[in-house]
Amino acid sequence: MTLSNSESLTNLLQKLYGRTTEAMFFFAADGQILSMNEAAKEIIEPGIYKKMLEGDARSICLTCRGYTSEEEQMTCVSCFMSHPQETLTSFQLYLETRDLGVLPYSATYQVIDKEQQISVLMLRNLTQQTQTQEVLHQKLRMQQVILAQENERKRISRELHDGVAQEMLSSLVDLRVLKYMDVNDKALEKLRQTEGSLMRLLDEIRHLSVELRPAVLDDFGLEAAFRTHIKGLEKNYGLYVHLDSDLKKKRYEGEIETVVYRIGQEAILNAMKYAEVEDVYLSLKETKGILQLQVFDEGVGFDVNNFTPQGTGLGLYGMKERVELVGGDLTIVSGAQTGTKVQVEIPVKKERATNENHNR
Amino acid sequence: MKGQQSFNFQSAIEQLRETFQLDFVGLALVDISKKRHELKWRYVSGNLSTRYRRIVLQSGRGVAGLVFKMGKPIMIENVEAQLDPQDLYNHPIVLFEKLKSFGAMPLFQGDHVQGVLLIGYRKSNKMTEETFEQFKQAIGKQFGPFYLKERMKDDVIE
Repeated sequence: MTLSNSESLTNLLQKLYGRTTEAMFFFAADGQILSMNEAAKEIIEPGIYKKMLEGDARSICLTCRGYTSEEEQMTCVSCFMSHPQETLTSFQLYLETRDLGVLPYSATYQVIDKEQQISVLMLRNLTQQTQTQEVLHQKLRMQQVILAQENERKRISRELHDGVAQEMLSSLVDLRVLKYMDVNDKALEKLRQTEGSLMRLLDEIRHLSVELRPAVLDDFGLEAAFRTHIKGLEKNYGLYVHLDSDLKKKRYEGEIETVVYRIGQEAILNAMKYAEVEDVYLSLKETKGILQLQVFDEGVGFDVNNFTPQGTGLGLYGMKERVELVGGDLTIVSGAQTGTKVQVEIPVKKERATNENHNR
Repeated sequence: MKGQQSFNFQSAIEQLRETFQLDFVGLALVDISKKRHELKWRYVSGNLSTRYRRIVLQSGRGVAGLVFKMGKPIMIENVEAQLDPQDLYNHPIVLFEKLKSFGAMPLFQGDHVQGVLLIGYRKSNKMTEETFEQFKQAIGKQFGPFYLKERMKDDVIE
């Protein structure tokens, strides 16, 4: 269908103006609002709308909260209204809207009549897009943070384990040699006490190193790392964790091992903090290319869909983030009577570029 | 150490518990007979669980660990108000024994802390500065082979 007479085009434009979801404002030379369409009326606070109709110059400023420049999210510096005769396509503008607060819009400002200096401002709602972008951005940032944290922990842990602890061990050996030399009883007594404090200090440093990031995880894999962790939990908190694993010495990509280990750790910690139990069960297995971790307890559960986090609530969030890092699934099942079960399933990728093996 | 065997710690802490109507008394000692020099709860009275047996105390961690490290007593009149419930798992003995009010003091041998004596109630506000002071008075300067004192600032740098 072609439009032969101009009448019908005007007609269509009228319809577009009236029914589009894009807000349109027509301005006179001094920034006075000549007309605005239905969509524009809808987003503007009724009180402000009335004022706009009074025809004040730059009454758009009543609702405008600035545009996004390279320097600032919302700014009025070199505002499009200050150069009314320049066309400006596609920039981001923030408006104070009716009921919904400040929202982002994608804006176009065009001069449509040079002689009479009439221009139009068209706005497209960007909320959805901005949100999507923000979520994506946040996720990427979170992943970087997790990776950076893990690498830094690894570095410090290694330093403690290979450097500080080794030095201390050799001092301890020296001290023991001293015990067998010709010293009197009083000195011997003092030596024993010093030996004792040094040994506890050494334990403390090793403990710190393991807590930061266990070297066993990098050297011997998941099962060994969990065994060490479990032993530590029993010694420090009197918590029994029953490990059931069929991984043996099997190794996975560094990234996957880190994720599984950290989630296991977090889940056990949660059980210890909130479930009021003495026993926690942990199982590790691989079936059909899926690595599965389960942590469950028979203690006080919670409503997964509707609960007030006792802690920061960041633990669960962090677990989810980590699983997503390696394309896995996290399931948490919990009930007041049944205890809590945290399950992670991660597809084990076979071939992948080795430079992505951050952790080995 | 000298005297650790000859002194009857168990009957001593049970006596303390009775005299002061305490709910729980625990005595953590450094074990020097073995090579490990581990600090563990060796004697308890009035315990609800035996979970304490699994724990090897770390210097600077938990109630006993802190007292051990600092060489100074700790007193908590009201656990619920003074300790973050989020953090309570770091004080396993308080958690397992459901202590609501307690005090802990270092036991010295020479300049070294060799043990920690913990006394507690399962009711809030029962351990006050006053009771704790009375308790320390009652024990006196010596408990078995150990001395009750506070580490002075200068003692730390030996």
